[in-house]
Amino acid sequence: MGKQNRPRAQRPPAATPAQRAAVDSALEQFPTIARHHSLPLLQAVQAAAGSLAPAVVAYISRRTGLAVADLYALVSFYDLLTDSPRAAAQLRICTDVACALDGRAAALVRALQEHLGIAVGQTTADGRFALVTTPCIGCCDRAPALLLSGRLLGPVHPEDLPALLHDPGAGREEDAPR
Amino acid sequence: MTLLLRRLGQADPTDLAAYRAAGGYSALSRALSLGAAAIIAELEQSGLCGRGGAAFPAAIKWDGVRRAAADQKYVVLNGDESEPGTFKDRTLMEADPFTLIEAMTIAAYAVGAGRGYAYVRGEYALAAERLGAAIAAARRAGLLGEDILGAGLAFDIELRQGAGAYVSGEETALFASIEGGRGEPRTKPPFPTTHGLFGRPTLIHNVETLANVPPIVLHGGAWYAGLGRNGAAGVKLFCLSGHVARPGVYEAPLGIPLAELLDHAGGVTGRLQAVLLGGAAGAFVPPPLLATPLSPPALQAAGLTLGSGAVMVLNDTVDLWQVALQLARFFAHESCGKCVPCRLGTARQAELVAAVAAGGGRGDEPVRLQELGAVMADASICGLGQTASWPVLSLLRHFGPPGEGRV
Repeated sequence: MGKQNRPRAQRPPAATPAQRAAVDSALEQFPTIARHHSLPLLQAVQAAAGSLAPAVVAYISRRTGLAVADLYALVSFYDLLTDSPRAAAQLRICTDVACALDGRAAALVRALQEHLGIAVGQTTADGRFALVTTPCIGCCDRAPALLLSGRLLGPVHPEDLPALLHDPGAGREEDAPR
Repeated sequence: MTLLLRRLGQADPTDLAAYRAAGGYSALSRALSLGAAAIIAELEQSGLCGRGGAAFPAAIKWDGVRRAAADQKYVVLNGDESEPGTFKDRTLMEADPFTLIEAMTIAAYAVGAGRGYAYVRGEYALAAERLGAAIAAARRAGLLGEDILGAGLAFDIELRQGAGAYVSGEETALFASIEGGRGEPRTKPPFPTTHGLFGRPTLIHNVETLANVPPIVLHGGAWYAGLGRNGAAGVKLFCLSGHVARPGVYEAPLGIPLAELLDHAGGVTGRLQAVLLGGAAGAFVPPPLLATPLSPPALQAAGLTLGSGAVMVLNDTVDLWQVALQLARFFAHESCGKCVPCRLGTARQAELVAAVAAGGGRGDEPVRLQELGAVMADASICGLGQTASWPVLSLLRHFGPPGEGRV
């Protein structure tokens, strides 16, 4: 008699020392932690650790007492949070109406796919870049635009790509003109 | 004359001394001498309505929050600008962060709020950086904190960044995001004026709406109302993009005819086919309606909407049904899934539009799109589902299915 215990859910892999160190340093920005800190906390950890892989989220939960389910609810909801195991620089190409006019965004996507040798949604073999498309990023006056590691850049033309990808930190985000 | 864009092009928008030298914080001083009731009276006289898309009268919100009794109230700056074709709030946050902080402080004084949140779209790193630096500078100078300007006013602002979700710009979804949850909207009522952030009375405004507050307090509501045209009150920022000679943010009197606004941007490149006005939750405007004044009542009478002020110009090389398909897919992707009419409706709408755009389908798609749009407008809990059918229905009304009524 009595129910059989269900098998335990598979535990996430343990966080690596580097992941734990990244989480620990990000948590230092939060003297107290309540539920309403969840999103800024995940953003800080992603910035430090590169991604919110399952092992990282589990370690955050252990350190803070915030439930893994509640944290993962945010990771899965927000497009800018990623649980990809690799910490690649995100290339987010805007393919919305203004950027897509006259085939400009499509040309940019094609050029990036050729240059990086990957399709949209994939990460390069060396783990440096992840290529995704995005709805409007509020840069329609400088179309076609993209986000590279969080920086808004536009207009970006296919011939700008080699320099941009060679040194991803080089392109400076600029003020709106005028 | 520019009012809202007056500080565009400053060498360092986060230089508080330069802001004060240019008259910054004189509006807060005047607000403190006017008192809360008089500030709200000026706001009412100004006719200022929300600039995020819903065009709700600002004074009614302020009065509601002021009258609500609570141990804590909040002022929230909605900088989660995500409506496709819209980039005015980014421009304001990058170019003039102190005006927004001053406006939030005036609002906090008028409604009796002790804390504020500035919620900036996750994609807007530069705007968040500038706003964060300006908040820190204001705090160092005693313009945020326990005793602002020695007037016994206590107010501080916390900066929050979004993380990529269109629906989080909806006011109750934005509260949920700040509170640490998924950015999903709540049913209304109760409204934020009584049950907002953390369940407390909350004044939440779009960035551009708040940017109007310091000039209104300084120069008076009647003066501000007089800046509009064709019966509209005040000024508006318009985001011109697409097939115009000079895309960008333009400030113009509310009520300016659409054709005149296109001239400001150097005119159309190519032959005009349509203007997508108001963004994805907007409408396609055919050339015969270009004389319509850009004010919420005039546009509503013409079956259009001003929305956030996005003005996407499309010449006759564009396949409008492909644009409609793009917008329909956008809504299907961005629907948060909380309510059924939107979750299923946006998906079915995208399928129907795809069939029409491809020139196939059963032929009854226009009727089914209208029925679907009516159900989504009636039954969705937030503006996303309520407006998701607008562009395709406006396309059917003014242009018809592909091959019919094309220019």
